[in-house]
Amino acid sequence: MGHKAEAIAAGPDTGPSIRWRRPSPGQFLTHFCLIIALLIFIFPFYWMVASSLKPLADIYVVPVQFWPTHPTFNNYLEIAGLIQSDEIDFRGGISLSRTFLNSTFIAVVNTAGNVFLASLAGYAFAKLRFKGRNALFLSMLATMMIPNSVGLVPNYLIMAWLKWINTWYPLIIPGLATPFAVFWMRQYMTTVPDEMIEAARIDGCGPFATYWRVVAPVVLPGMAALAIFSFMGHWNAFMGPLIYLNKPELYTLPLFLAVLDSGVSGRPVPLHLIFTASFVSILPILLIFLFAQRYFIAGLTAGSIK
Amino acid sequence: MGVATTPSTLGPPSPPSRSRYFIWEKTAPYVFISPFFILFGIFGAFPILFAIWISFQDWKSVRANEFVGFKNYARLLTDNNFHIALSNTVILGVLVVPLMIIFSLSLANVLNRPIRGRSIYRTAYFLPVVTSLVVVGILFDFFLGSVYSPLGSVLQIFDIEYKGLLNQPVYVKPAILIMILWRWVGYNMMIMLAGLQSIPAELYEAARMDGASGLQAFLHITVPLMRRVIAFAAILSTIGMFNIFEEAYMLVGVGGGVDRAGLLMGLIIYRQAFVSFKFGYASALAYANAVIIIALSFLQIFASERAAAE
Repeated sequence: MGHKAEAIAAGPDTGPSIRWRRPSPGQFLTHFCLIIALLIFIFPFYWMVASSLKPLADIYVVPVQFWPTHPTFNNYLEIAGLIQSDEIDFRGGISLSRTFLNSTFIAVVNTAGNVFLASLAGYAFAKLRFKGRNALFLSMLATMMIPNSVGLVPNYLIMAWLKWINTWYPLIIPGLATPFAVFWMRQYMTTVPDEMIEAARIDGCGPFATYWRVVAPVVLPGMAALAIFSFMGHWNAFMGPLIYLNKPELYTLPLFLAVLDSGVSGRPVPLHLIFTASFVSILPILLIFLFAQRYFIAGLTAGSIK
Repeated sequence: MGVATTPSTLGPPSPPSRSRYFIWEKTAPYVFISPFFILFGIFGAFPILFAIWISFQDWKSVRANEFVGFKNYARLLTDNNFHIALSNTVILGVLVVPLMIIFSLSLANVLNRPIRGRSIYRTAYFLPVVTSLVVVGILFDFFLGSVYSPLGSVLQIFDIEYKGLLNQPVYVKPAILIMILWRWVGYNMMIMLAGLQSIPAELYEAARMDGASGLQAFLHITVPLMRRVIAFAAILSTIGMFNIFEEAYMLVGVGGGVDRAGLLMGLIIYRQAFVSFKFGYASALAYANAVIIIALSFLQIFASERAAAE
């Protein structure tokens, strides 16, 4: 099923080449609608980038400027903490640079751990025989029906008892073990031929060596898709940081954005910095998406085809 | 392991190492799944059960609790915020789900044809899906809420006065609706595209030979064959509606905005838990929410299977 989604994502984009003909009215209308939709989807991104180049005074102005008339990179320098900024000082003095590193660390550790644990468990579920295999797998799947909001309070209590409030542990440890990841890796592992595993064992590979040297390299594309999916989830995660963090030096990017967005009394909301920080915060994901679209779409639409 | 498999000059492999190897073979599966299951057990499975117990308690702090029976569940019946959030969520869901399916299926249907530049369209439509929900909330808060939004300039051309939409209760739900559609249409379009590609092209060919128009083919071939995929997308959108938090938090705030017109289930659960610190009631709310979601999912599966049987 994952493969199907992937095949579609990879798509026959270059497909059968179409010779240029004068478009019929129907085709013209189709493209007209598609382009309108395209503008609607793209415009907010354009506005974000354009506003990141405007001084605050040019954002708080009517009629609005569709094009930055006094383009400046100052917003980027200010948000990065490279020039003095009242807005950042008012909010604990932590700049985007720091929160960017925080988010990177949390997302990378989580992704690596998640892919490793899930592929190991996925391998066992797909290729090894053991007692209770199906029961465990099915009960794990069943928990996926329960929405995450049910676990919010219990997890908070557990974290409070462990004295993990205001640390990164609540953002890292639970994210290492997600049922979706195991499910995803298991689906991939079932496509590995049994003969391959048999051959590895005859050659003297133990169970771990079989997984590590033979199976893991084969399912690398599945791991890549999961890694991208997992990285994006942790990079964008907001509720966890909102609940568990209130020390500015621990903030992640989304929390930093939300704090910027909250007003300091008597001052206008620093929209110039908010647009700039928003753009910088989505840039890594946009780049990964543009270069690894295939894996991205495969991971995100997984499970849609029975 | 090496010991067990390397031929020894001293005869067959010694029994202890062979049995150690044998034990490793037997235990390996459990060793492989245990790191996952230990963590998942503590932070994933146990909390689901623990939440039931929590929902029967009244919490003064994280360590002081008192059993109160069904009090938290009884409160659901009288809590005005819960009723508003539930009706808002249902109203929005009833609007979001059909619109989402119509838009995403139409786009997918067009982009399934060999059209010029379709990979550009597909990429562009998918961009919002990879965008952080917090950023989505910030952007729409600005576009639909701020007086400095380009929307104001556009409306001015038509001589319509614009003072932001989010401060007027009637516009709060449409604003949330627009934001959800913008963010998720591309995602559903990909699901629909995956479904469309599994429909054999010969069916359309045969229909064309029989003189069916494009619209007829769409209604009589595409829609019936896509029934399962459509049901799947509808279920995902419904579940999503009951779980929305980040975008709504940024757009209307945790109180649900003016007149609580944007108060949604995700917001009241968070608010009860981490603003009011009513852990017991928040868990009861979360369980009520879960029951509604699961019931609606089964209902949709049932309806779709019945439609197929007819």
